[in-house]
Amino acid sequence: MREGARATGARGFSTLELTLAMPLVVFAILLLIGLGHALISKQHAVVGGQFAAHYRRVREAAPDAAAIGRAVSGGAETVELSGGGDETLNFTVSATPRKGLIAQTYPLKATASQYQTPNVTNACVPRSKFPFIRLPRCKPPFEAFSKILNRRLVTNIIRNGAREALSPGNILSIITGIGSKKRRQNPDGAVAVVPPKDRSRNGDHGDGNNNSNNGKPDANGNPAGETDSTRIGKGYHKRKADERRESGNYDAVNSPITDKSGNPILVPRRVDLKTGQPQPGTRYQEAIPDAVNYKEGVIIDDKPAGRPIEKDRQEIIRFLEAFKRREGVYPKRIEIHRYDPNTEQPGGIETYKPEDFLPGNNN
Amino acid sequence: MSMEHKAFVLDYEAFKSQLGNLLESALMTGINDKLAQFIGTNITWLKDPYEGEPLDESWEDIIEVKDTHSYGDFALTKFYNPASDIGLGDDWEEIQDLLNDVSSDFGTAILGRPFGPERNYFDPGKMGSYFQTSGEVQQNLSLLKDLGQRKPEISPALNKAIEMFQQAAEAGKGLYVTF
Repeated sequence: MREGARATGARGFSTLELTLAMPLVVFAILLLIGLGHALISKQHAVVGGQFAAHYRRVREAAPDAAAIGRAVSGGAETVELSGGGDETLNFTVSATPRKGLIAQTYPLKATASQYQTPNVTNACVPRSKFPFIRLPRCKPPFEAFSKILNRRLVTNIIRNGAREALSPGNILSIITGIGSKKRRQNPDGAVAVVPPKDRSRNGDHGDGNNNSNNGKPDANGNPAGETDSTRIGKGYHKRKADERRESGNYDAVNSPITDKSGNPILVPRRVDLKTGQPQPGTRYQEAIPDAVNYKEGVIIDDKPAGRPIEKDRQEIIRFLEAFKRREGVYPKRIEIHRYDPNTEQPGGIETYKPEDFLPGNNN
Repeated sequence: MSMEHKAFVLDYEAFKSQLGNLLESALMTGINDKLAQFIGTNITWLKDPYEGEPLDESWEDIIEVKDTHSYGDFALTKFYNPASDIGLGDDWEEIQDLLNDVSSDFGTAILGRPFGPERNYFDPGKMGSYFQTSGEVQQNLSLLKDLGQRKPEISPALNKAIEMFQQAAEAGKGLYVTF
């Protein structure tokens, strides 16, 4: 009996404590809800500031506050906008909630956020002219556009436009058609003239050589018949290019060596290694090293470990000649950054002098 | 852009019948005696795979890494001219992307098929090496021409690849593609 009374008492105390604590619990819940709403308003204000800055940069006039309010919260908050600037755009946005019982009953304070950005077209911090100040450099904005609107496509649009009188709608459809990724889908009526699976059985090369993944992703997920070494090479080059762009330490990354006006320099694809003269019938092309720093006089190229450097002599001569056409002198050094073709891990740096590659030195 | 697409007109059928089995066997076993013997026997037809210069008796001194891939690299020159590169150069990825956008099957057209055992494909440059028979060259040429007609907006970008296949097709030969 005593045990039963004690248990009842314990339960009674617990219920009493909970009842007494209820206002505290309700207060905590309301506090959390309030904080959540405050955070939402704060975030809306940040987005509003970004919106205002980019609007101003592109249109050269700030938007009105009501437009920002509609854009960021559908009119659920009263937005106030202040700021501006020439070289640096600095906008402060205050957002005050006005929908809901609490907002209509109590006068809530506004949450303010500030957004600041350089007033340049691509919003990237330009590379410092002073080598001791290494500011991070943004990746090129609208990178996808550079692929969609590449030189050939634009040339083609102009050519076709002139020939076939393309309407603006047609031009737009060409661009959006190229840009819309429909990988792994055959277009209507498209039939591979060389259907990989029909070429041969069991991956045969049609003549008994079994060495194919039939153009499909293989067991390692390699696309379109690529071997691991090709896939790894592409991936490594892309990753290093991204890192180098971000570092801001290079004047050109995976892009052509240009003259001082920005025009790509064309050099012969192959030269006679005894005379240095272009080989008969050779074509001219751009020189595109993996990275170059003109001031330091260094050209960087990534190559897999175990690849004979002799395989790349003509390519490196193209880099050297293009560099000289631009700077008037050859670079001080060429760095070959090796990577493991199986694991993608860096495999050391080999440093060469231009004389190691230039015609006349065939040792 | 270190991955530069190189392509050479290759007498694929002769390669297959004279060197194919030797090379495949060496890639499987790592024993290069017969490959070295092939090079010695055929030295008058072989070239330095880097510049296309004729080989002499000191050919083995040029090899930096003495493995099956390097021996195969030299032996293969009996069937193509290393100085006559008709490849796509730095444009290959852009062309491959365009083809892949049309169909994932098409991307293989500008490469071909690797040669050798799956765990050790022939790959002297360590960035991939591919072969196409004369029949595949003809088929890929038709594929790209047909594609260019159906999609005039990508036709100019395909011209370089069409030209590459055209040269091999006119010679009635296959292709050796490497980087």
